[in-house]
Amino acid sequence: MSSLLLNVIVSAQNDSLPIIDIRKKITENSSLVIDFAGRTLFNPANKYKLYDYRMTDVKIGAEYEHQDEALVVQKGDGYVDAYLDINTYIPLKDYSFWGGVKYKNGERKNVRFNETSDYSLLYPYLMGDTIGGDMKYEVYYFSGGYAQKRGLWTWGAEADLRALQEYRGVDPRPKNTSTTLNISLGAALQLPFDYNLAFSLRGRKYKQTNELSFYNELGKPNVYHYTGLDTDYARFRGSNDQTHYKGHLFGADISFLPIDKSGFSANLSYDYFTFEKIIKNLNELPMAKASDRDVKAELVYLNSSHPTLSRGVKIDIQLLNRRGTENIFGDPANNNYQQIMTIDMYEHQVTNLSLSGFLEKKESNGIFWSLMPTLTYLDMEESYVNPKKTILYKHLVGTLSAGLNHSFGKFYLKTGIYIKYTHALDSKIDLGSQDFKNFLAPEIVHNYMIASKDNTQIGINPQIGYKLKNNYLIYLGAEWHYGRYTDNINACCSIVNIGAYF
Amino acid sequence: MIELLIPSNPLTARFKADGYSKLVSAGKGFAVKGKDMVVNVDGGFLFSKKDPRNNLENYKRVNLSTRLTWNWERENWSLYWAPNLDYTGTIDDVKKDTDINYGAIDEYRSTYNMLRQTNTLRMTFPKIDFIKSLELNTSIQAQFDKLEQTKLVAPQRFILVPTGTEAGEHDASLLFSEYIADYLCDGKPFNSFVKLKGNFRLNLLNVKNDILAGGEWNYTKNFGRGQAFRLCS
Repeated sequence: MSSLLLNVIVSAQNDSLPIIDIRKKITENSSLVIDFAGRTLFNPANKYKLYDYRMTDVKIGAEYEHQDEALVVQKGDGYVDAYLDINTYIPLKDYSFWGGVKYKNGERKNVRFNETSDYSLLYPYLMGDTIGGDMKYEVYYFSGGYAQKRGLWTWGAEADLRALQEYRGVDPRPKNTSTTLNISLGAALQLPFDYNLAFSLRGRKYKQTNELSFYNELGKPNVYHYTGLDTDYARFRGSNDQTHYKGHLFGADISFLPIDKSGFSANLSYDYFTFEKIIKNLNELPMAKASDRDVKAELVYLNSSHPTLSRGVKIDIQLLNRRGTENIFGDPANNNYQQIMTIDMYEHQVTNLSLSGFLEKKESNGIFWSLMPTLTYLDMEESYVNPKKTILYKHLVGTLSAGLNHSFGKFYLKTGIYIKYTHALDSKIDLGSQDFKNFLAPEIVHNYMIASKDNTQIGINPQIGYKLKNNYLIYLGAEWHYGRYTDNINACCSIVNIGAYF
Repeated sequence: MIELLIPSNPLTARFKADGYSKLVSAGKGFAVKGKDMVVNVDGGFLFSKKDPRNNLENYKRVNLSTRLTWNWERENWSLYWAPNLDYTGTIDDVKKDTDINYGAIDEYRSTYNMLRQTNTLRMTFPKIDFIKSLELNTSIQAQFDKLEQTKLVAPQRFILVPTGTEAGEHDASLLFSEYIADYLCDGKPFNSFVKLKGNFRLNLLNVKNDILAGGEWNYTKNFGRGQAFRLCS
């Protein structure tokens, strides 16, 4: 487990350059022009002079979410946490560097049928039981990157480390420790017509130890090792409660983008992630494995040549395929299980197509506003081979976001609002024969019923700041998100934070 | 002999966290105007958990410390005085674990408080060749430890319970069924010492002789009751 040591000594900025109002820096750094072509930022070399101004943001905050019923049972029906978040970006003459630190401490509520952390990464090969409960968690996150330009070449490197610990103080008692290390290296070559051709490579190492204990001497429930939809590995059901996961990712991307952020840009990326689930009690038995193939492509047109008006349009495609493989074992000899077969049993296919645009304008009275509409087509299909089970749904999602920045006196207001409507085009669930009692089926059906139906989400995030003498800005921010799902299920999330920009 | 002035420490704050402990501490020094005196204060809070799932093996600790240094410089003598006052204590409540407390009977509570006061008094005489320095060190430390436990005991067969504390024949009680035991361990260790030492120099026939002489007195006693337990039905 990594440790976070933070000595807080506040010192004033000491630039020899003319001092630019901190509010102007915030407005420029939060412009949609910067990360509209977001996929090109996978390459750390493309973060060279990403922002024109140096800025550090330090904030502490608290979050609370409540769902009337869990949208995904395995993730729980809400959470509450407090966090510290620090980010900095420093552009200098020939190089830029950036970094961040985040610490979060909280609790997820009513997590059921899942005692494994990082559900979205490790599905469907989770460990769980029929009891569940609230899960406390702590997250430590560190990141840093560097980019430098020499002649026509720009190169960059970036790394981040996330350490997560989750646990529960009543039976069943999981203790999960996961570590994710990401590293990426990139380069960009300046071409004659003010364009950069950039390419990058990235890697990830992932580990999680997932151990379950029961302190009560009166007995304990069965521990299940899920294998997809409402199936589990029945042979190892029982008291095998010590597992661990290890995975790695390799990825690459190529992008073509204008130096002055005005014009066409394109990005194509490919990632291959695989992980293995190992049951420690059974002599490090490799129970199952999953592999992701993720292809993303993006084509963007940006026009930011006008001093007060910027606009852009983007087409974004993602194709994600996850295949799950189960290992079959013979009779054990001295607790040694001989692997006799491997079968591909699980598949999850996601297709995501989106068309988005944005318009950003600075008015003569200093108000800076933006609009961003997005239309997305989502196709999700999940299947299990034997017994045959299928879940699929197709959605059309429309989103409209708007933003506003304005300075008045010593104050600064930044706010955003959005509305998102998801319309279900098609959905199907087939869990096959129900001749045998399957405890997980109702929860799978519950998750499907919510995910496959229409829903509406809205949100607002105002932030009010006050500029201090030494070009610091202290602020108070809030966020509120609300979602309305099928059967009048509501989900509400509130966040408050205080912080400073300097 | 020149005594270097100890500067006051700037404000420092520290936060350390990992999966097993959290520590927050802050400290600052103050220089007293008009006097050659510096006061340093600091405090901290530590929350330590051996296993985050285990509600019984953890503790929360607070520590506070005040340190003063005071110098007097006169023509014939100089005096350095450095008293310290330290406090360390735990602030745990009763510890329970609902899965192993047999119907909310088992409870465990441990408290620890330690108070310590030390002094260093050093005197030098620049005009007296024989005496290089005289130093007095004193320390008093009092600790208050209490461990209280209530436990449900379910013996597998009947057990004998002694009723006397001296050797010899006594009647005994028999316990046939489960019982609740209260346990108390009360410790109040007390330590103190006084040390006086002198550093002298004697010049004899062009030979410099350094003499170190002194004495020390120690007192240690535990004023607590020790282990005290009783049965109750």
